[in-house]
Amino acid sequence: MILIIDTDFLFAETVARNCRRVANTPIQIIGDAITAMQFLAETGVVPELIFLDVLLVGPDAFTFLNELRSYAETAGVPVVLLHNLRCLKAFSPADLAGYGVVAIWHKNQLQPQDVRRVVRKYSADSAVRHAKSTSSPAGQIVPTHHADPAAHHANLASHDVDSTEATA
Amino acid sequence: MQGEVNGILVAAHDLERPLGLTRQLALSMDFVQDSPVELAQTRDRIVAVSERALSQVEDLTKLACLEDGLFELEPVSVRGVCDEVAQELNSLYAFNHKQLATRYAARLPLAAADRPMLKSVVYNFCLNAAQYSGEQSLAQLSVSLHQRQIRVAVRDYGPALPTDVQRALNQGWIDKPLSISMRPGSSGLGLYIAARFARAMRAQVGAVRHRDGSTFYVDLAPSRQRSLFA
Repeated sequence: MILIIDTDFLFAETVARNCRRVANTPIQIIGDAITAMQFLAETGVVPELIFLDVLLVGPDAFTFLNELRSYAETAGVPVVLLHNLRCLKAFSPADLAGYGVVAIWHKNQLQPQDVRRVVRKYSADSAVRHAKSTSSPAGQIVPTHHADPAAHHANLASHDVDSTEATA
Repeated sequence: MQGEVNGILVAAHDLERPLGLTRQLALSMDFVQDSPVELAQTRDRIVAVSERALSQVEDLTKLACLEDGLFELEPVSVRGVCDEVAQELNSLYAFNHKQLATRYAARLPLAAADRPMLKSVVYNFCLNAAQYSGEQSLAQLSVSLHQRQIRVAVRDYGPALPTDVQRALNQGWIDKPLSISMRPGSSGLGLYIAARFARAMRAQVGAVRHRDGSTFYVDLAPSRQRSLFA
């Protein structure tokens, strides 16, 4: 499953449409971080890839990323950050890579082929990585209060962290 | 000069989103893979988003003309204006998995207002509720009599309004757009336009804070036509 978290459902639907062109996996669109975490906890589903808008109503993207990292099953899920801010370059790509962020894209420069490229690159890889690394029953989300940063970085080192903005 | 620059930046910020969305919708169209129904649906969405942006541009233009007083107050059916707004925003609410319910008091008098301005005020309130209400929530557009005024209110169930914004709004005058924390991406331009239009119509805007959202309202004077039968 691919999860898209964005308050703007119209925009999220365009991302979903581009995902559907290259993957048959189910796509879930959720409007806020709290509902997204509830969805993950209640369904036990581990997304292959998450598209996450930075500005959300209520808790923002970084709150969600922290929550994501605190569970063993979702700690390694790749995340693409979407934004239309002018100041996001202030964030260090290395800092965000620690949260599983594999790309940061400005919405006004996003191209359909960017979405397709990242779906092709990460969705299959995510399934393989989770099958190897998780020791808890498949599909369950178990909170870990003392996440191992070294393990996170080892997981992410196998991906190219593309923190540049999508080309126009 | 600084005020002028800030105004331009706010307007640019508010127009950026619909333009970016229009671009994404257009890019998402695949004339080989998409069915005619899907293409038509995307086209309709592009039109709807563009029309909302054009409506905002029209509001900004009207704002610039307020000082010239190029409008007149006339008897306006508030219920008719609200019905129009609800119908225009129906598809937006549906697509965002939200609902807009309307509720009107019985025997409402006509209001002394400028119809396009009143529509802009109500439209901006409802658009705000559509964007910032929680998922699956119900926003309420109501018209009632309040202390001999006609009150049009929009209740949303989203992040609570900061007290400083509420205070500024209830004073009846906002001299610049105020972005609202916990309502991401908001420049406050819609609220500012509503406040200025209300003032031009000699109406009063205000807000009520709730634990689970906000109510934005505008109080209008009833139209008092002289009776021909003295």
